[in-house]
Amino acid sequence: MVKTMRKEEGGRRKGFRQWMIILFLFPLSSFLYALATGTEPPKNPIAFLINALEREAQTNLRGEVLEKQIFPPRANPEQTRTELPAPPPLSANWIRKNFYAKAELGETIAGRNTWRIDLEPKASNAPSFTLWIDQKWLLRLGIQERDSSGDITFDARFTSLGSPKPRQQARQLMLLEAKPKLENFVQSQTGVQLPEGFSVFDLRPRTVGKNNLPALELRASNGISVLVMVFAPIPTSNTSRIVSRIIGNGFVWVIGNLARAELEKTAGSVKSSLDLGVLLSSYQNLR
Amino acid sequence: MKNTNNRWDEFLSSAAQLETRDEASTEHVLNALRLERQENPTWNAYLSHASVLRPVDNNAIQPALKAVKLERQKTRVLRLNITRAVAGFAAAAAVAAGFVFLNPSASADPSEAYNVYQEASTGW
Repeated sequence: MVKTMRKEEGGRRKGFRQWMIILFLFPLSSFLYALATGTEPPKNPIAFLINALEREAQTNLRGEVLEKQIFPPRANPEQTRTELPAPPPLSANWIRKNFYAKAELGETIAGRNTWRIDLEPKASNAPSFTLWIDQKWLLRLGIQERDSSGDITFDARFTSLGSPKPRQQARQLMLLEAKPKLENFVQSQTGVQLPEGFSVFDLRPRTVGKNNLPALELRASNGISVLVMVFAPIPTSNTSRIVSRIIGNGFVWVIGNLARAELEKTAGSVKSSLDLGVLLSSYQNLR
Repeated sequence: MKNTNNRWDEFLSSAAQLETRDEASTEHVLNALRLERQENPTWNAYLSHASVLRPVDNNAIQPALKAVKLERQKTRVLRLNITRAVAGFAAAAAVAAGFVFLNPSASADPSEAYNVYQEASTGW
């Protein structure tokens, strides 16, 4: 009996020792890397990301980028380009609210050391993102977007690189902020319930179809992922990541990299009695 | 009125070939109703019933049929019994699909919707 207890005690100690070694080695490896390179992963991944993008707006970094785009679909999903595509409109606060952010040592891209920033959504139907930032240049070298099933919907990375140079004409990173007046207008006019974490950031007139019919476009974001709704007099096809529904005397299109059920739920939340003419004229008065 | 009758004759003649109780055809029916309204104001009442329906709900068929019946009583041009109305309603799906196909301006290409998304997702 005593012997058995001692054995158990010994096993527990052994297990404890193994865990201690793991717990010790984990930070040790990071520490040794930091010691060797003089750097460690950014403590505030979201602020680090926004800084890198603002830096990119001032910098010309070219080379060869291999890009694979599943959504929005296009004839040739894979193509090469000379620079990374523009980032989406962003909000640090909204990302903070809607994503778990993590920074760690990233894969080497085009021979350069990177930090890897992972943004995992808190809402289960939203896409997740990974961005690779050059450790020295503090510029994006790669991006990947995955849908809620984990399938890659967009991936772009440099395969070869030139040196960064200042841009002759700086770009302006679009940073989003809350628009309570727009939110209220959209809510009272359409009754739409946006997916969890999404907020309206723009509402603008547009034309649709071959006859350029008047319509209204709503743009919403959860900080990095965009959702678009179009209130239009004509439908569009119900196809991959597009839901088109009849509402009142018009149609609503919902387009975004969200689970289909979420898009349908959003479209279904619009008032079924919506009058497109009234919506368009109310928007004119709002302006 | 004559046009409406002709249109319904077309609906009925092709009804036998249709599979009705699926989501896509229900949606097409609603599109057809809207298109009809543009052509013929007498369909307004019809549409007002149809527009409250949820297009992806199979149960929408029943209220839609009631709307058909109501319209028939009101205009006295659609001499359909309720069984024929089922066929007529379903045939509207085919006509709508054909109409949309022959008249691309009646529906936006999905590439247009994707372009809207792409444009909105560009942050500089």
